[in-house]
Amino acid sequence: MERLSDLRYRHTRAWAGLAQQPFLLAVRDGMVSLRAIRRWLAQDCFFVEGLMGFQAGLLHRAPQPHRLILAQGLVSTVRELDWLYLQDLDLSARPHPAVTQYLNYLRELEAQPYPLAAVLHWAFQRCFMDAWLAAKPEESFRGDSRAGGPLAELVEHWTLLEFQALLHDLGMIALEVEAEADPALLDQHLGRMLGYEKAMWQMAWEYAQE
Amino acid sequence: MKPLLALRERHLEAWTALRDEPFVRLLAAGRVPPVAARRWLEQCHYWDEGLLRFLTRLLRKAPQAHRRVLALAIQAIVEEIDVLRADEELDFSAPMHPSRQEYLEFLQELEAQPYPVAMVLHWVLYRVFFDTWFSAKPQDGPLAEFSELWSTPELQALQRDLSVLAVEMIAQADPAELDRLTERVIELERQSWQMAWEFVQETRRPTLI
Repeated sequence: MERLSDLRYRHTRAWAGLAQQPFLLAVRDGMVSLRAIRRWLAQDCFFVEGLMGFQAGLLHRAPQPHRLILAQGLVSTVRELDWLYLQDLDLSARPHPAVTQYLNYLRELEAQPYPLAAVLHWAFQRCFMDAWLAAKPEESFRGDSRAGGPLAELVEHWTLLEFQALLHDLGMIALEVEAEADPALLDQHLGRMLGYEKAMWQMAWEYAQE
Repeated sequence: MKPLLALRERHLEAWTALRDEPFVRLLAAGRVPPVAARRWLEQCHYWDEGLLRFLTRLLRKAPQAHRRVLALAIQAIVEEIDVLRADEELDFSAPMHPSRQEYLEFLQELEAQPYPVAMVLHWVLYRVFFDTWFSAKPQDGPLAEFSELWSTPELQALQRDLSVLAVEMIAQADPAELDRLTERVIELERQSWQMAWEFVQETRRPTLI
């Protein structure tokens, strides 16, 4: 994973900075209302819908040795959507501009060569997870999952070994194709993607403040 | 299952006539020449690639309640392509047969259909094929391993789940459109079996050298 670490290192400020987003710190401190979390999850649901479409397209154009992992990724995303739809979220809300921008970006990425799209596919899941895990959201309910509501279920879902293993396998795919991607273009895309991730956390923080 | 069976019933004659295709009879007897079997599998590989594309498009249009089954169907087709790719005797650069090309174009046409029609037709596609295959159920010969591959409990459970989705959708699909497209599927299947028969005949043709 050396080259991927380099990539992360080149963007370390923006990447690691995500874990310091006020929303994540407030979640850890138990300072975010359930209402704000549910509004954030509704927006997340719009994003995951787009992610599923992106993953389906990526799988189709992937070389055969990558497809089984991508198919497992697709199954995992569908399960996440199952869970989100079970939360009785208010999905009549309009997608926030941060989500719309990110979804437009995913559509743009679909038109990019497979190596670039595959590396970015790993990167946006990895940087999200790095921020989430670094923020230690489980501290807000002190490990008592019954008290944590949807937040505890999210922590459980994203820390499951299968999910972590999947993320690792997606990293292996990214590692394999990274050398085929134009480095300058890759840096440019990574910079943009990290900007969209930041905007998503800022959106969540807006909800927390309201 | 009644509405799906009624659809099959309306096309039963052409549907079951596929069992009498010469290649299918040879399959039942376990006498498909290995060269023809390989050429047929090479064309199956194109078909699986086309089906994978079709399923990824279908998944994007599907309601959430259908997606898990479709995602598992995608996984199953990826695994089937793995099995084909593992066969070192197959030549994946072999040109695509015109009948296969036509079938893939039909799949792309189906992608543009409303979701309920595409979902029911997906059931028709695999049901027509498997009804024919399992009427022959080759136990010997170079293709016998596929009888085993296609009758695993997991695949059968997946097919049952896909049938349930198709049943759910059939009432929302225009029956005349379903009939028209089902007729085309059966014709395309017939052409596929004829393509396979061509491969058999070519192995039997005397050569000048």
